[in-house]
Amino acid sequence: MATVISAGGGANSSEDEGAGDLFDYIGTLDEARVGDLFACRWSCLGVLRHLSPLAKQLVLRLTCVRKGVPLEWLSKSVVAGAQAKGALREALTQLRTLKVLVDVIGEPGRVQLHKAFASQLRASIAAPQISALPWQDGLDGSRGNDKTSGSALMNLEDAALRKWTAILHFIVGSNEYGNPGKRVVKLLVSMGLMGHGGASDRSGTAHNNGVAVLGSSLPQITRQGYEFMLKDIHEQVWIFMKHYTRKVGSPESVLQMLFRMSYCKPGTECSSGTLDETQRSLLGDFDLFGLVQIDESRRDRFFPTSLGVNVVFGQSREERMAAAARAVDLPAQSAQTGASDAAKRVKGEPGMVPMNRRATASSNVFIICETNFKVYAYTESSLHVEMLRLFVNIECILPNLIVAVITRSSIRSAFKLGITGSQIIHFLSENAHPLCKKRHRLVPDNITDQIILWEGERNRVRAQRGVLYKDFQPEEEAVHSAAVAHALENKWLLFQSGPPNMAFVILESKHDEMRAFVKRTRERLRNNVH
Amino acid sequence: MGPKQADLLQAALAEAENVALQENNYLGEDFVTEDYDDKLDKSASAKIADRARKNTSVLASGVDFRKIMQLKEGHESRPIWVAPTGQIYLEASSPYFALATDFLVAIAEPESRPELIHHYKLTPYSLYAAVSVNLDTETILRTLERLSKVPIPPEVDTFVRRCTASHGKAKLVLKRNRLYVESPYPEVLKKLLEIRAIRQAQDQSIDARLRRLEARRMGQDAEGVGPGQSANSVVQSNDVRLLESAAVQEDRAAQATDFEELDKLLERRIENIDDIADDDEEDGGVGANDATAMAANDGGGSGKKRSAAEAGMKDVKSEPSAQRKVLSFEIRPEYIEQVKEAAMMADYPLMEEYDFKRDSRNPDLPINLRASTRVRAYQEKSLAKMFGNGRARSGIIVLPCGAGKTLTGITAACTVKKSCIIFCINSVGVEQWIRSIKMFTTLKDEHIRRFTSLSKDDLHESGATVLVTTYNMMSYSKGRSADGERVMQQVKNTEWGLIIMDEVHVVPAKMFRMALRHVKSHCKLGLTATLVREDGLIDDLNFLIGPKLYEANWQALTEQGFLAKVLCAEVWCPMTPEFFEEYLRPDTPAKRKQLLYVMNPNKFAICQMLLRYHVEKKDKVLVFSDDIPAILRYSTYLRIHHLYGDTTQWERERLLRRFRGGKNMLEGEKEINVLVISQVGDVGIDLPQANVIIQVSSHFGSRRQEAQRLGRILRPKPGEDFNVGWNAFFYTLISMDTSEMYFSNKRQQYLVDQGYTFKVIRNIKEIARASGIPYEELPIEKQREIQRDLRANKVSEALFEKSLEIANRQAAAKSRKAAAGRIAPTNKLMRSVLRKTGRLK
Repeated sequence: MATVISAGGGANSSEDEGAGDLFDYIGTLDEARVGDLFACRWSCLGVLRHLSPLAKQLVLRLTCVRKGVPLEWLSKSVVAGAQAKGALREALTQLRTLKVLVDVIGEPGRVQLHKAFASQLRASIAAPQISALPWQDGLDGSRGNDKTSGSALMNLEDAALRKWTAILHFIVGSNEYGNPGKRVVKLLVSMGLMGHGGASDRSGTAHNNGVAVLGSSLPQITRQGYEFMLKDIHEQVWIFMKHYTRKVGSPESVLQMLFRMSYCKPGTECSSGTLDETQRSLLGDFDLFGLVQIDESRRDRFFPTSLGVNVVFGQSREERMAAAARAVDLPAQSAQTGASDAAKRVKGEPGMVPMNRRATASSNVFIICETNFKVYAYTESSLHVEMLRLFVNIECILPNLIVAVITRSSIRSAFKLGITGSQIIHFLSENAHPLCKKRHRLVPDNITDQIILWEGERNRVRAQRGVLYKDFQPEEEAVHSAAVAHALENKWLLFQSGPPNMAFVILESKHDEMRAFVKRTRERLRNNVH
Repeated sequence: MGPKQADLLQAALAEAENVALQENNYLGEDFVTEDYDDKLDKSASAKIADRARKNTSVLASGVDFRKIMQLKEGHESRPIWVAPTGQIYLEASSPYFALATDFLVAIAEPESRPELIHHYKLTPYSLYAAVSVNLDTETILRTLERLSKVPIPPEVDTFVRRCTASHGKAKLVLKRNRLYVESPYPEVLKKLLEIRAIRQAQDQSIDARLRRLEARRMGQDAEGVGPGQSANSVVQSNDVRLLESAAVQEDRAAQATDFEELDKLLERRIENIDDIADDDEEDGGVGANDATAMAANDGGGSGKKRSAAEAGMKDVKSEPSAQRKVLSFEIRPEYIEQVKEAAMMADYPLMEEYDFKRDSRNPDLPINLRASTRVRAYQEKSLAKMFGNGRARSGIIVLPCGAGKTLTGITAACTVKKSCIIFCINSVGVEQWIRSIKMFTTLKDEHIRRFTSLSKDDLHESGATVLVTTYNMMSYSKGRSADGERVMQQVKNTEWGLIIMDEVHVVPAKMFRMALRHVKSHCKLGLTATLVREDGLIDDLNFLIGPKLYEANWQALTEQGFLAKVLCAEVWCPMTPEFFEEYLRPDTPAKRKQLLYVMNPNKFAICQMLLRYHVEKKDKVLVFSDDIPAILRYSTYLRIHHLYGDTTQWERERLLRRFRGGKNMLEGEKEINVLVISQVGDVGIDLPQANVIIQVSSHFGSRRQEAQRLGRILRPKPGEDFNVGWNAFFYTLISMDTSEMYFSNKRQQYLVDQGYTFKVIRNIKEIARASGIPYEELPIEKQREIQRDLRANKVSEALFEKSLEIANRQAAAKSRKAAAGRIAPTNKLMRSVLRKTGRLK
């Protein structure tokens, strides 16, 4: 069954450009653009940070080597053994794809680091103290306006999350957060996440999924929109960013900006003085999404939020699981440490813990899918209610738990919206509660099987256009049977019903031939009688 | 009950004892058991349901409670959520899981218990059960509050208070073969006596009581008179006279416009009763401690270990203090249901408790568990609920099939040690119980008596007897043989310590009522594996027997190795084109459609393949089919023995012996490994050797049947290692794209809620080929032959159609009226038609 799922998953990612993250995207850039990207120190550091440990090692060894080195040197730096060889191969592939490691022109078999990349690294090593954080130029250095601590940061994060959540709510048609503004709506439509006419046109069926529709004049969620909703927040932000990279003339300046931002601390005051034209217009949009907050009083100052800081590096699945464990405060853990410890954790760090929990809890959902088709989702966000509502029947919503059940009709209504079975399964397993890791599947087999079976149900009937022949007179039984026999012989026959109805259906394309045949037969028989 | 209905009932009862009960009941499940329910029954359950609805209406409806609820401090370490709808969700991963489970099982209905989150629901009945195991309102609320991540919603608070406040205040006690309602609260008795139905049932007027009191003073206490018949009949005729005068007085009282006067009258009555009742006081306030000890009794088990939950609940106010005077009034036995129902309606459900340890009037039964008998922890736990305060309570214990219900019942009998009557659903069950009693206990054979259509043993001279009988024998009312009548009289005159009712879920309420009218007992214990009925009549059991005392968790028992690990598979069998075409035709009658999917040639082939595979592995296979024509055909085609309603008792026993094999067989008999069997195999037949079930047809969407059938293979085989995957297999063959698929889903619901999963196998042919198991298509001539036969059976089809139409119309009207959800069709015609068409024997 697993193979079916993965095969389905591959086949179903309708937009190929939807796949892949930022680094895959860098791999697709041409030499000149990569050069421009590597002109920025933060981008280089960001790429370095992304590399696998072995690749990092290799890069650092080569940083100060200004000439090309033979490829074998690199092989020699790795211990012998098939495993190490494989790791080296992978590391080299990664470095080449990102164009960090390039062949020396005219010297086959020799490689070197990308010039710009190497010099940026050297510069950082030589002078790490110079602007430890990006975008500090032009600030007086007093850092009095920082929002890096306490309630200011919490307010900042809250506001950011609210903006992002508002957009997601708007996409699913919930009016809880109101309209996110014309510019955002326009953007959503241009990204294809929403559209006028909505999903109904695409799936060919009217949709009314219990989602409160705001009004006919507003755009409605599209098929891509539903796919988008089932992704996690970092993937979602990246989808937005990719849209920008396609839209603007210089994608590298978008990337540079993201890399820079990933080196910021949430809440530090930044100056927009050094931003180029593209970046400045981006900044306004970032503010709309909650990736940064522009200072109300000084428009040239802004504060990155953790949402923005995490766009590039996001959270790996393992990190998410770990965060999940922290956020839900696993009973399993409290079993080990004892309940009093759990209480201590809460009381001991009054500022930190609740805020962390809040940040993670509101962006993550931890789902337990039981073998009896019940779905329990640990979340405090009403957005997750809307997301789950796409494919489950919600039975009860408690402060930190959604109780729902998967039914045939709930899954079918999701199919009607264009959501695929594998997307649902993917969503359930991606957001599986850490406790589910203990069993051998994140989502029980019988649930995944059933979802796939339900999906299969929809593809069982094939429509063929046909023509109905009927109203043969009783005395024409011979004509009827001859015609049926003829159709059967030529494989035109779709349906037949004997006396007393005397009717049959053949392929529409053979209508003319059949009509001629019936006519001929009729005449022949009549002649025989006379 | 109209004369027609009476006739019909009579006819039903006159049917062959074994089959009638079972097969009728499978109808009775999806179909309303109209024939069995007279008007009183109907209105009773309806009224009680109304009452329950009214109470339940205080609970919130709706879905989203985020706005009105907040998480409590430290919610992470608390294990449950309590929703304003009365639903409770429990984290199975919580360190307090075991404690919370014990508590929740006591106060709420388990809805589903899969792996990580369990779902419970508070219902009026579950709370009633909670009170009857001595949990009081405050304890329930306090414990809930402590366990819950969210504050207890006010709706739930009100609901719990409303359902529990008045519960447990009044009891129904049997003393010297007379029934009394007793309570330490005068105001409760007063309230009860204000109810007309109870006043009617009250045994004697004040005058009569006073006269009796006088009589007693004069030394002519009724106690001196033995339980002999003559003395009894004198008293009875006396009572009738007294009753008449009482009735006049009742009317007068009812007409009294001045309420105060009525009040005074009642007051006086209770005072008088008080005098009589003082010799009945014996409330000891026995702690819960010796309860568990008692359950362990002779079992040699570890009953002393008290679970955390019980420890946590020790602050339960157990019994009213000994100083408090217990008041009582007597009621006539024939009104017992009316009284119980009325009391239930008034929110004072009568608890039935039996202080068997102090009962010196009834002779002791010399019954003890053998030293070698092991009582398992969960059996002890369930009995601890029954004997919670040192007395025996009436109620129902729910244990999965194969988990040792019989031993639980026997241990209860060993605890009470008084005369015990056991109701089984058929004579096979009777023999099985007797075998078990002999195996598990030291009771001498002379104390064990049978009362069945074949053997009518007299009770033991000492009066202490274990009588094993069937529901039919007890409810049968006409034309008994002289022997039967004699034994029946003995039964009626005995004051039974305990009634054990096996497979309590299959028996129609009507039969219960009749049986219980004849048998007076101190305490009733119902045993069942699946307390579900599609017709919702389960609620009736609540006041006929008592609350559900305990329900075991299937998955937990499986993990502990007490139940076999069953692989449940739903095998999809594609319909052959010819069969499918006929199935799809709009002019194909419903009955034939049904036979078409049951007799689907691919099903034959797949069944044959599975049989070969499992027989090769030396497995014992039961093939289940509900359709008699299908049984015969499977039997002839696959060359296997069959057993169904028409099989004679002799042949039946011989087949079962041969299936059990080994020492069970008589000389010269050959062992068989496969048996195709009808619904008669669903309940009561104990075939511990079976470990594979292939279900080729079943009774529509019956959840209970599915669970019962699974139960046939749940008993773990001795000497098997539990860590090695599956050791039992449950296949259901489903014809693809037919209504079987819909029913199949419905049927599985109960088991799915118990944590079982059904694996769908779509491509069994390929799997078989890949693993080298021979797979043969059914020869085309055979296929045609089956189809021809199906078509030939026209007459019965027409009848079936007609009955279905009528039934559907009735059901539609019913659902319009009641709007009470799904009511499946049935009626007399349907029944008779089914009988004619061979679906019902």
